[in-house]
Amino acid sequence: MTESDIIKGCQNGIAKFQKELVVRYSPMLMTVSRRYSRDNESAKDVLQDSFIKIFRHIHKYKPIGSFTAWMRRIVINTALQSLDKSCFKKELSGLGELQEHPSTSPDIYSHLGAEELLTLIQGMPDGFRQVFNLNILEGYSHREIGEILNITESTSRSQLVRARNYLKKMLAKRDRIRV
Amino acid sequence: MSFEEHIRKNLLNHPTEVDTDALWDSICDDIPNGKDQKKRGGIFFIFLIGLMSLGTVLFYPFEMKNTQAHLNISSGQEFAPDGKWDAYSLTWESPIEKRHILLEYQNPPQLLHSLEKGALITEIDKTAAFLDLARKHDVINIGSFDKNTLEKESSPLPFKEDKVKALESPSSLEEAELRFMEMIPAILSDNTPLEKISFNLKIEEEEEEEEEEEQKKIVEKNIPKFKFEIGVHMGGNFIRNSYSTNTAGHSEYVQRLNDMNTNSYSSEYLLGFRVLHKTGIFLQSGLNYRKSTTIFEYISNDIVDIRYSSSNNEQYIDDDLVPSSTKSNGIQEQTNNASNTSISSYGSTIRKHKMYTKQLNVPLLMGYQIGKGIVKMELTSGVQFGLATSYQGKIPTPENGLHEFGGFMNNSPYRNNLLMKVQNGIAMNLTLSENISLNLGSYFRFNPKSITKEDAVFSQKENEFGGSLGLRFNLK
Repeated sequence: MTESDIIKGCQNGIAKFQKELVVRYSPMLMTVSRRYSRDNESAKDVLQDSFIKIFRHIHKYKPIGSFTAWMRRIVINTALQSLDKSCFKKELSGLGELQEHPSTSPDIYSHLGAEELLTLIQGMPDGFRQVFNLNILEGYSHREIGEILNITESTSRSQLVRARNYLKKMLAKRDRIRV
Repeated sequence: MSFEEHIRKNLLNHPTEVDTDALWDSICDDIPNGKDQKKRGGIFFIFLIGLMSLGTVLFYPFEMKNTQAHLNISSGQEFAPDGKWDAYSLTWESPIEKRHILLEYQNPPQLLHSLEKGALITEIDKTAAFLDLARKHDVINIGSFDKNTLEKESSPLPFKEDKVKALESPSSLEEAELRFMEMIPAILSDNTPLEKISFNLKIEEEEEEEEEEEQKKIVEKNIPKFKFEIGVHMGGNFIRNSYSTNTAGHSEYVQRLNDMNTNSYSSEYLLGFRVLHKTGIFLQSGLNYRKSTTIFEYISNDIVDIRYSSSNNEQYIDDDLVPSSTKSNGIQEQTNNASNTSISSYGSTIRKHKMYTKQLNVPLLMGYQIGKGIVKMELTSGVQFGLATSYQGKIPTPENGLHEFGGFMNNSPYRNNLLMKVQNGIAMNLTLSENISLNLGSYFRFNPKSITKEDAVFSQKENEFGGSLGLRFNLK
């Protein structure tokens, strides 16, 4: 069953194809959802809502771009919509911490696998996590992130600096524990 | 590799184990599926049919009361292996009216222009537009359904048997309509799989046709089972005779007869009658009087001496020496003397003898009349029995002489007086008035068996082609 078969089947509302889409793409989309969520339970909820949206809007999908990218975007949007917008306001305090910490030695993070990295990301404050994901993993610019999250470009930048510092701090902490 | 690159490398394509069954169970009730689409289509279909039925009932409020109705369902075309069947029809009728609904689909769908443009917003707008279009074009598009909304087990007919049975013999037209409406979802669910199906509802008003049919029936009822006609016909025939020898030693003579007799003709008059069944089959007979002329024409090979004598400036022709016709061979001799001038001419004489035969015939023909309008065509086939009543004339003998015979009921030296011919014909009948018609026909007759006599040296066959013109009078 090819991707286009699945798309066509889902566009026609055939359950067999819909389920195949869930089976085939949910592991990848779950990772995306987890990156944007505080925990796995929230990620599941986001994924569930995302699939409902995917199936309701799949007839609008045009095979111009990647189908996977289209679904990822839906998952990201769903995750962002579930986000408490006040998280950015809360985190605006403490501007003195905008100085970026020196780079971290690869020895500290090279042994970290995907699950450990995900745990790290999930542990970030919501605002940091969203901006970090959008910028570092999705490749959005701060202007685009500002538009997506309805925040200013400078807020996006400061959130990213803080997110990086937070991660370095967390890595250092883990390294100390490991040692 | 920086920390961020390390994250990208590890997370971008990292799969997370998911309980997909549980996930599916949690979302399957909330996602659109074919059943929902089908249901919506079905509801819309019922809504439209309901409106149509209501309109019909309102339009014919009085005629529909207390009438017994019967609903007929028929499949328009057989199911083809490629999944294409064009149409099926639903007909319900009562003693006073008959409505016919033809359901058909098109593949790919050709939605009405106004629907495609999305110009119609509400269902009421759509319905109004449908009805308007229906009046203009007799066609209503009643919706479009995806293949998968209709996909189920393929059925050779659009209706399952039990559904059809449920629709048989409703007690009233209203009940028929109600049952029909109940059946609509079944039509959709039992449909055959197709990429796209667009149902068109076509309404054909058949009342005028029915009226015409009724009138036809009345006219047909008034047509008597049999129609009796008498006719007077006259005609002429061209006859081709052929002779064959009966006994040895006369082949030269028979050959001479064949050479002598090439053209014969006859005229005939018929007083006949015809019994015409309303199916167009008829029997025809009558009494036919016929006079035929058989000509024997030959070159006598005599040298003819024709003398023109003039005496005292008077010129005379010796009648005894003048044959019926003379061909000059160009050799002439002129003799002059003091008192007479004679011219002798040498040539061949063409002799022509005629044999007149009078016959009474009785044709027995069976035919079929095609057409019911003013102009009809008739095909006939049968036999004609004849009795030669009189011969008069000369016939060459084997000895180069002439046998002259004649008289009423006089026996011919070479043929019996009784004869039979087979006849096939075609004719055109033009109705001139309610009781009179003109008949113009042609026919071919032949002797199936040679005409001869026991002691005759030759036998004869007559093949003739003829035409006739006649008038027929309707008696009943």
